[in-house]
Amino acid sequence: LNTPESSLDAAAADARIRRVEQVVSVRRHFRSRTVLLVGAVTIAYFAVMGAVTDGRAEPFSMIMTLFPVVAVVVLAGIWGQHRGLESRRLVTLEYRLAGIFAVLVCVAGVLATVLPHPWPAALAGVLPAVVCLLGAWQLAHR
Amino acid sequence: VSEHPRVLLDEVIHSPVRLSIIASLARIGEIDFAALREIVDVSDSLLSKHLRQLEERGYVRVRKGSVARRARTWLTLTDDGSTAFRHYRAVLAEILDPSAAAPTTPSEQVAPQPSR
Repeated sequence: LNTPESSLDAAAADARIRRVEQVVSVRRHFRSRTVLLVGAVTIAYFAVMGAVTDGRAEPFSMIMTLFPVVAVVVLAGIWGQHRGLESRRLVTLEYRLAGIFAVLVCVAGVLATVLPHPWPAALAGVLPAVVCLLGAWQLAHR
Repeated sequence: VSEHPRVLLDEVIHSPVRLSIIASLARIGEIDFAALREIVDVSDSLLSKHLRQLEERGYVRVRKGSVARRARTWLTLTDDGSTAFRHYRAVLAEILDPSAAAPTTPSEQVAPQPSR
């Protein structure tokens, strides 16, 4: 098989296919895990936000204000560095998820302010987190 | 005299870069040019060259489009490409483990011819 036209032998070709499949699998799961992590961090964020608004964690109010900005910048950086398996369907899905997530974060923010306690605030955070859960599943299986 | 199965390997697929392209597309379905370039780990020009060969052979479909006003090139494996890759893998399996793999007979060769 090692002819001038082809530098692959059968074992090398087989190994190459397996390596490519592994790279694809890692990329497929990296984005879905990142989205899952965003969901978990969102619930934790709203729980702490509830504690801040009811006065238990007052010193963290400045951190809580800055955190979403920092999180968006970090996430955008990670998203840019680790390109996914970008099909038209996945790109459309990611745009939709980001839009729905942003709206639900705003809704959860209002709820967390109205219900100033860690547990109800964390429950409000579940709203956008569910979008992350569904998104992670879709990203992992499409 | 029976031929060694290696002669049945599709030479269009049997190149390091083209094999990586086809294996990626077979696993993913559709992918953006830039994402594929990162997986295959080659330059834009080299990827374009090999994609052109695969497109000419009818194994890969190239579609141009845009997302958020940015031009994108989407790549998919055609039915012929999928069939050729399945056949290629079957031949590889036969070469690597002749006792386990089903013999590849000419009647089973649904893929395009191995070389041009």
